[in-house]
Amino acid sequence: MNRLGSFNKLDNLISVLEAEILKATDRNILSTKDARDIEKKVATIINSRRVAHEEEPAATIPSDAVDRRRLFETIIGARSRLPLEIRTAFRADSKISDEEVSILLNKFLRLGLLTKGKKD
Amino acid sequence: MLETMSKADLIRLEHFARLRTAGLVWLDWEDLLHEAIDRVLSGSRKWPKAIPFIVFMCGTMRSIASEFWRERSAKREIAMTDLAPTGENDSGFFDRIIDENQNPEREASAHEVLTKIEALFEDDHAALAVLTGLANGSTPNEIQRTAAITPKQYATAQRRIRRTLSRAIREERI
Repeated sequence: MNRLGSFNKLDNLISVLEAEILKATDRNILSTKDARDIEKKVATIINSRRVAHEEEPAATIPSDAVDRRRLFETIIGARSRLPLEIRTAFRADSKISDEEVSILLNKFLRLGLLTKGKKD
Repeated sequence: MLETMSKADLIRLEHFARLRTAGLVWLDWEDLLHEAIDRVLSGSRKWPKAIPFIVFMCGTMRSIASEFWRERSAKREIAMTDLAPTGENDSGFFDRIIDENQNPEREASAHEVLTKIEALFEDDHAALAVLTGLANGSTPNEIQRTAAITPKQYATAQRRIRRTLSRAIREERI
C-alpha cells in the first residue's frame, strides 16, 4: 500500500514531467502551441529583470524579514494604491508568511508600487 | 547566461514555472520566474557550471516553490502546538499531532490538483495508469508490468501526459 501524501505524489509527478521536458528535443519543445509568444514573453521577463538589476540594485527591499514585513504592512496600509487582485488576496488570508511577504514585495516593486530609496 | 538561452530553453522555463505553481494561490508562474531570475542575477543562487544552465534554473524554481510551501507548513505546525495542552507527558501528543497533520492545507491543495489532473485522463486508461505510477514513485518497469503495457506504449502515454497537462495548466484548468 502506498502511503505517500498528496503533496509528495504531486511533487513526484512534476519532477518526472520536468525531466521529460529537459530530455525532449528542441524541435519538440518548439512545437508547443503559441511557442513564439511564450518565448517572447519569457525573453521580455528576463530582459526586464536584467535592466532592473542594472538600474536599481536590490536596495529597495530590505534584507531582514522583520523590516520586509514592516514595509509590506506600510504598503498594505495605503490600500488605495494597490491593484484590486492584491487587495482581495490580502483580505482572503491575513496570516501571510515571510516568504509570501518577500514574493509580494517583489511583485510591488515590479508594479512600480515601491519608491526607490536614495543611495548613499 | 540568461540572455543567451535558446528559444527552446525559454519555453522550457515557462513550462517549469507553470508546473511548479499549479494549484498555488499566491504564486503565479510569472512571479516564480521573476523570483528565480532575481536570485540568479543577485548571486543568491550560484550556477554550478558542472550542470547545464537550464537544469540549474529548473532546480532553482523547484527550490523556491518548496520554500513557499514549507513556510506555510511551519506556521501551521507552530499554531497547532500553541493550542496543545501542556504537561509532563505531552511529547507523544506533539509527535502525533505533527505527524497526523503535517500540513493539511498543503495536502488539501495538492489533492485538489491531483484530482483535476486525473480527471483529464479519465478516458485514457494507459495514461492514467502511468500517471498514478509516476505519482507513487514507481519505476517505469513496475508501471509497465502493473498496467500491462509495452515500453513504447509507456513512452507515448508519458508524452500524452506532458502535452495534455501543459495545455490544461496553460489554460488555467488546473
